[in-house]
Parts: sequence; structure tokens; C-alpha cells
Amino acid sequence: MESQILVENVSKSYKTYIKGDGIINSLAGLFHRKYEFIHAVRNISFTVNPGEILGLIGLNGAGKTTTIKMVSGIIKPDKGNIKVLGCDPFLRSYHYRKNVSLVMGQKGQLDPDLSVIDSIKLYASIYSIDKKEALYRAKMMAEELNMAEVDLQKQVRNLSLGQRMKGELILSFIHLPTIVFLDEPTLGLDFITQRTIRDYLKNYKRKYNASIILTSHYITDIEDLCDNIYILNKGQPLYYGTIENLKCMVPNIRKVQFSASEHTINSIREQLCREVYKDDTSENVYSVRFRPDEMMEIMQVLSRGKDITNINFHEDTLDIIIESLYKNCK
Amino acid sequence: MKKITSINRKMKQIIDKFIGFFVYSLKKLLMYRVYIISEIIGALIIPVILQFFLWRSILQTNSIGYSLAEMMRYIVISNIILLFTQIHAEHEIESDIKTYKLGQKLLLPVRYFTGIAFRYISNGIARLVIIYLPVIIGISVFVGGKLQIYRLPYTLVALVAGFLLNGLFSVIIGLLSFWLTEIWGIAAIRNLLTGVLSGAMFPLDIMPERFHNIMLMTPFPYMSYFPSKLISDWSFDPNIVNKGILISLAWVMVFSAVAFLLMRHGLKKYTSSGI
Repeated sequence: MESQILVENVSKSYKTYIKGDGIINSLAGLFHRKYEFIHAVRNISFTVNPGEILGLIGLNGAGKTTTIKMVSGIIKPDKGNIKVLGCDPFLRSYHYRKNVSLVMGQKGQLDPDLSVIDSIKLYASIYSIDKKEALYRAKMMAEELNMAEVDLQKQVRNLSLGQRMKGELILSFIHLPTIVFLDEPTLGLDFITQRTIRDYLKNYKRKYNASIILTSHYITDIEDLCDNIYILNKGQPLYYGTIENLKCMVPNIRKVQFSASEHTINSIREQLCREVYKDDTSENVYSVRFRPDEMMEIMQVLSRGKDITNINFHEDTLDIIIESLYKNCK
Repeated sequence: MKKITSINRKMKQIIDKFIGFFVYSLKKLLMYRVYIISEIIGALIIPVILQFFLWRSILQTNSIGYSLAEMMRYIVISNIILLFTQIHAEHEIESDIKTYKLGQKLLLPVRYFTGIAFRYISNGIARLVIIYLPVIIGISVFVGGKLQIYRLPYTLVALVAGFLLNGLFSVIIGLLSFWLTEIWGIAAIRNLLTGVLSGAMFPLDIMPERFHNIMLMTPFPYMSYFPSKLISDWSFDPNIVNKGILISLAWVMVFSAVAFLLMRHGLKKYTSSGI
């Protein structure tokens, strides 16, 4: 299968004005300005196949949005090669623009003075879609997103944040794009709306074989939606692959916590030949870290311990794994 | 044959897009009743009343070749024309450039300039039909003047040229946002320049002839004075009319080229920061 999005060794830097402190430096800045180059993104490469969602992960200022802006064709990269639907997105050909959509959380395209339906009718004429067909699609999408039909006719400024975001999604998907860029689409939304939007995106991807690039600070969005993830650290690639592979890379991702006497703990330590950690906050509570394939061995050892109680198994969540990746990087 | 069908299809798509923008502008205009009333009162009725008292006192003691009725006919028409042609796209363009919006609009299958043009042309037509046309018809009935038919094509060309000149001027100022942090100062100067030099406040032919001739070489008179004179003054010199149409179209071309160059260079600079 040919990739719909191809990004090779792309870099981008910005020039920013460094403002001097105090009135004298501010005055001096009128005549002579100091600038600094900031490397927003350095040597990133990835592909996105049809029917795939790629999650861009990174701390604030890591370069996620810059990447989306470059891949979508809004800004030109300094170096590297980007191909979307086989062409350079920065040329913004008519065919490209008819098949692409950019959705930004809380940065909408809906006119607050008019209704969602009014904006949909305008977009229908912009995308040359039959009005009846556009309204039918909007109705279907609203149903999928649990949005009442009457909300489509309300003035946008009177809609709640969640309803507005659903409206934004309907507007952005009205032309059934095959390339979608989503920049924090669930920002500030309640958990039920977040899940509805995630389900909608999953169905959309499946139905239209769309390639989607997503950025989100909500780890549930990433785990639930993304086939591959790309972790950025200060504009540089830190990890690219599936979430499962990332989890396999982490040593001793699982942890078992239990209560036991000192004597039993010594016996477990000998049998497992590994460190048993004592909990700092509770009396007689211990934990052992292990790999997923060591699960049976751990259970057998624990079942032999006579006074072991309160056994709890945990697995490191994706955010903890990513945090440890960042710490190791430092 | 195939080529003609393809051209027809493209034309239909363009017309459909324009109709889409027109209906959208109409809905937006009709959304707030207060806006319509305040525009008529604040931008037309009050300035015209103030001008009436001003010109009455001036004309009582001075002779400048205009009677009070002629002057007021000119003032009302020139104010309406300036309201119709004075487009304020600079603030929208500035907001687009300084935020994520330009990026989003660049990805729509309608060119950014085309979108802006469609939006403001349709807005201008919607405002003309809903707000100004009833006022113009009312004045025509009240004054009882008659328009010379042969001047109609000239008037239409002059109105379109005025609209384009003002619109392109505002687009050029808006596009400066690629380089400047704030454009409100330049926009304020533009409003002042177009307000005074376009002849919306007074007819330019009351000034010395040399000044009048120099002004006719600049783009400003074609934004209001020129079409207003075509409508209100039936003895307006035909030589000035013919020459004026050519000069205004030449300025439209110059402004278009400047806007195009600014957009091309600006987009290379655009970082879409603030997203």
C-alpha cells in the first residue's frame, strides 16, 4: 500500500526578535534588533498509510504543530521532502485542497454569528457539493456525534464548547477528506464528548480509508486512536512506531504490589533473584517489577507465599513510559 | 466541444461559489437589526445633517460654483458611494495573518484572494441592496433628478473601479501584517486619506484647478468623487470622464500587481505563529 503522506528529513527554524529589557533597550530595538534562530523541528521522517492514524506526541513547544503546519502545506520546510497524495502540499493544488482538512481544537472555522447549517451551505458551494447531499451528510454526522439536529440551526455563539467542536468536525468533514490533520481536537472537552469524538474519528478512518495526523495532550486519545506514534523532543525525533513496540522496549513495564511479612519477602527475593521494593508510605507493602512474559513465574512464586495478601497488578501507562523516555533523554 | 463544456462547468462552479458567499453575507447582514439601523444613522444621516449646516453657512457668504441643493445632492451621493466602496478588509487580513486562520483558509479550494473578493463584493452588494438602494431611490424621488442614460455604463465602470481601488488599497494595507506587528496606524491614515482626498467630504473641483488636475492623476478621486460627479453633475466634462476611466483602471492594475507581490513574498515569511 502506497503511503498517502510521506515526510523525509524535514527541518524548520524560526527567526524571533529578542526584546531588550527596560526603556533604553526598547528604544535601541527601534534601530537595531536582535534576532535568534529557533530550531522548531529537526530531521523528522515518517509515513502515513491510508486508513492509518499517526499521533504526534511531545511537550509544549516540541514541534508538533509546526510539523502539522508543514505537512499540511501552510508553511514551507527549510529542508527535506514532503509528499501528500503524491504532490508537494506547499503548492496547494486544487486536487490537494479538495481532499484535505485541518481541524484545530478551540480554533474554529464556524462563524459565531450564524448557524452550523449556514456554514455548511457555504462550504457546500466552496467544495462544489450538492446542497442536499451536504445537508444529508451533516445530518448523518450529527447523529453519529450525538448532536441534536436542532443544534445545527442554532447560532454558533449559543452552543456549548462540546457542541461547537462537533459542529467544527461536521464542517471540516463535509467534503469527506482523505487527508485529515487534527490539532488537539478534544481540548477542553468533557470525557463523554471526548469518547464520542474518538469513536467518530475511528469510524471515519475505517469508512473512508483516510490518513490522519493527530496531536493531543490527552494520552487516552493517543492510545485509543493511533496506529503509530511519533514522539518529539525539542523538535527532534525520540520514538517512531507502534505503542505496543514502545511498551516492549521498556524493561519491567509491569509491577505487582502486595503485603507480606519480612520473612516471606526474603524468600521471594531469593526465588526471583531480583529486587523487592518496600513501599515508603505503607507498612509491610512491597512491590516487584517484571516483564509481561514473566507473569506466570511471578504468579507461581507469589502463590507459594503463605502470608501474602492484597495482591495488585499494574502496568505502566503510556504517559509514564513517555515521561521516562524524556528523562532518559536528558 | 469538450473544452467548452469544461469552461462552462468551471464558470458554473465559480458562480455557485459566489452565490454561496452572497447568501452567507446576506444572512450575516440580516442577523443584527441594530447594525442596519446604526449604519444608516451613524454613517449616513448624521454626517449628512452636519454637512448640511456646514455648507449652508459656507455658501451664504461664499460663491464656489455650487448651490446648496447641488452640494447636498453631491454630498449624499458621495457619502453613499464611499460607504459602498470603502472596504475594510485590512482588519480581517491582519487577523488571518496573525493567527491560524490564514492557514485554514489557504487549505480551502477557493483561493485566498478570491474568497476575500467574493466575501466583500457580496457584502457590498447586500449592503447596497438592503441599506443604500432604498436611500438612493428615496433621494431620487425627493430631488426629482433624471439620470442621463448614456452615462450609465460609465457610472457602472466608475463604481466598479472605485470598489476595486478601495478594496485593493485595503488588501495592500492588510498584507503589510506579514511584516508589521500592528497596522492600525496605517489603516487610520488610509481612512483619513480616502475620506478627504476621495472627495467624500467636499467636491474636489472647488479646489484650485491645478490641484484638481493633480488629484485626478492619483487613485483617490476614483474612489468616490469621480462616480459621484458622474451621477450628480450632468454637465461633468466628458474629457475628464474618458480620461478618468482609463486612469482609474490603470491604478487598479498597479494596485493588483502590488497586492499580488506582497502576497507572494508574505506567504514565504508566514509562520502561522499563534496557532
